[in-house]
Amino acid sequence: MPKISYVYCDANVFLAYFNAETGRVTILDQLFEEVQKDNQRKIVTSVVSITEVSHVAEERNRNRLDKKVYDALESFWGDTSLIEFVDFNELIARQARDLIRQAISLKYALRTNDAIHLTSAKYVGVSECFTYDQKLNKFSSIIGCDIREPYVSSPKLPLVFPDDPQK
Amino acid sequence: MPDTTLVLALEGDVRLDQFSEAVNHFHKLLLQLTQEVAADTKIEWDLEDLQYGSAIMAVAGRADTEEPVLRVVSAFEDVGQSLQQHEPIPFSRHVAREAELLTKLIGGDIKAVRLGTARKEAIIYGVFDVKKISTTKPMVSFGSVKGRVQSISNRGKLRFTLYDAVFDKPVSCYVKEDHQDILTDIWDKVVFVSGRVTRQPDSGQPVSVREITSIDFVPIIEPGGYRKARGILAGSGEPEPAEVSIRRLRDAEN
Repeated sequence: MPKISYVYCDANVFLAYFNAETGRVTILDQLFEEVQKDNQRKIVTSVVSITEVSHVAEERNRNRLDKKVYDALESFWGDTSLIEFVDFNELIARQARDLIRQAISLKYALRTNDAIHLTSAKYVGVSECFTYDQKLNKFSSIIGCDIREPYVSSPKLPLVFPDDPQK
Repeated sequence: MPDTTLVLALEGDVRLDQFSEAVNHFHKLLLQLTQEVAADTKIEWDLEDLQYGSAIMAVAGRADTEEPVLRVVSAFEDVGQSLQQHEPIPFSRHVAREAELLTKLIGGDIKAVRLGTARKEAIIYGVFDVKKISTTKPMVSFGSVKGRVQSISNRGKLRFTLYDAVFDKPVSCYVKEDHQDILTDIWDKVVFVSGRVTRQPDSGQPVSVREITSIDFVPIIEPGGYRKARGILAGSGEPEPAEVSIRRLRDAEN
């Protein structure tokens, strides 16, 4: 069985998709489409992403996340043709701790969840780690993969969705 | 009925000749152990399971009485723990020789040899690598593993093999009798198995789940279902950039 190649996505990548952010969502449409159709490629993220995105969503909706939103998010997180999760286990906890210590020695500020995401990417051995947070780019050499904004090799014209709020 | 299952696993990419050699030493190890701790009993070792991914073989002991078989199972656990801890093997040199020959297969594409029973797991990364001594102990913690159930065995004791969703490697799951009913429903299904998860100390890959507390089905989402979430959080106007929202959350919690 061929091995699956994983691309890591930080929580902010998913949030940008859920927000349908102008200039980003079309790239994510294409990226997700490509990954979903490729049996040997998948997106992976820490289980922490679920909680982080949910927290922002609830904050925005003043703690009243309606069922439609909840169900749509579940459809996303549960779509295993696109995404798999890295759980937060003891090894990741220890390695995230070590990464924070290493960052301090380099005079970098690294928050707990940042460290969990970066360690999770390393844990799976991803080829690339996508994030919109440029503060994380400097950890590329430590994690051993490129950390950069999501991209697609041949961008297409924007897809048009009937309910697209950005139209 | 006590579980007399013994597991031999070669972690990594395994060739047939290597697997054959491992099985040969494994078999001789059992014969030597039987001779030393249950010499008065004829024990048959039935092949219970063979799995791909990492090469895994399980056998179960059968004899007129259980007690001698359990002595061999216990002795097998001692051998595994001794190899893992790099301590002297508390049996004859014949037993020690077969055990060490098993571990000599490690190197190249074979990363580790795993010796398991229903109670214990030993992961061996090489007998003579002193640097590994302090790190070879498997990590055991309560947690869950998600994957697809590919084989179920109810001989001796209940057990199934799960192929984990990320690494696509087999994970041996040992089931208590109170979960027996669910076994018939989970074959080829994607499930969460919760319990005491043993992981390889270097890669973190799960290798077994014992003391299972729950087996839950993973909801099936139609492929492409993710699109329902596109723009689901968008309000009127341009939203705050995603990285700003997430950064505020992360900075606030430190």
